[in-house]
Amino acid sequence: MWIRDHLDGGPEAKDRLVQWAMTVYAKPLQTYAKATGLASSSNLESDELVNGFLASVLARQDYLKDWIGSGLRLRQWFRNGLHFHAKTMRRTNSRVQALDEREAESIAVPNDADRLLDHAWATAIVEQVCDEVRLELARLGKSAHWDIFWQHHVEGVPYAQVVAHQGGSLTEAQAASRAFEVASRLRERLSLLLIRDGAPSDEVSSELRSLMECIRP
Amino acid sequence: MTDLPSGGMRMGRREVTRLLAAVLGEDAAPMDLVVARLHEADSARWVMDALVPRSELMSRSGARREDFVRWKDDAKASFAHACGDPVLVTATFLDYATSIAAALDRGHGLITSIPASEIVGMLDRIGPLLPAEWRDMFARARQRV
Repeated sequence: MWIRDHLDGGPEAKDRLVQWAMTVYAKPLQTYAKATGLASSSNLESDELVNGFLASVLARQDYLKDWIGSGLRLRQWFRNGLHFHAKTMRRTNSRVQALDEREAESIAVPNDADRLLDHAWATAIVEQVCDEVRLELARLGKSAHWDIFWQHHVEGVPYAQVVAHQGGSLTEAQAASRAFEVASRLRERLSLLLIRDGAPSDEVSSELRSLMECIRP
Repeated sequence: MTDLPSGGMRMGRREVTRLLAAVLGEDAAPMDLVVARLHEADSARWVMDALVPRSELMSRSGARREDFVRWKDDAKASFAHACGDPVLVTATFLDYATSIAAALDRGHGLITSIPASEIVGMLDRIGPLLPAEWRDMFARARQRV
């Protein structure tokens, strides 16, 4: 397991792990903290709350080791930790200390927390892997692959028109093949993130379907 | 989608859904793709475009059972040729579902060997999301399964 290997590794491996966790989880947790009112209830901006939380827990040796045996997805583990962190922040905030204790206790995981978090998570990781794949394709001199993929799969343009947009130098089959290559690269990277998050490697497809489901209004 | 000055992408619900569908490819459930597409803002126009080739049959009063079976088989063939491409799969699955609903609506019964319980599930998930005239047809079909 990638995370366990890094936890057991030297300082460089641990630094890489922290950097990776910050990159992948900060944004969805910030979106979640904003959407649920967790940040405002702590009198903090969502990035202040989340960055402070991640910096605090990732500095602890035991935090991710405890997650490994939890049976939770890492994003859910962080979400629960964030709620606890927010509650602690409220209690230590001098302005909040004057409030009734029951109000501080009222910070609870909302009923639709999983859906809110999954929505933010899905959006964040899709954006992230798209950025990575676009850059990778650009490095390989294959930027046009991305354009073909985007036009067809996101804009819904038929391959016949995509080929015409490309100047007619491609066949429809070639365009489809290039779009498939992009989709494969995206899938590979998304799968990696999902497995590191705790999804069993043979359940990546159902995990992706669940993410698609939670994106729906 | 918007490109940030840094080059990073910011996406809406529509883009994320379609990207996930593209990534899933053949692993995507066609019904989920149709339902997701019907939640998009321009879904009414998409439905009309997808079903334009069937408008003549839909308006023909004397359409026979064989006509609807041919429509369904044609949709099935297009579905097979889609090779998991979610853009094509989504449109052809809507076409397929509508052929079954239209046959039921005209009193021709089930034109598929798929169990009635699954057809009911399909009509219940897709029907309420369609534009009014198609929604009403799916509702009538639902009563006749």
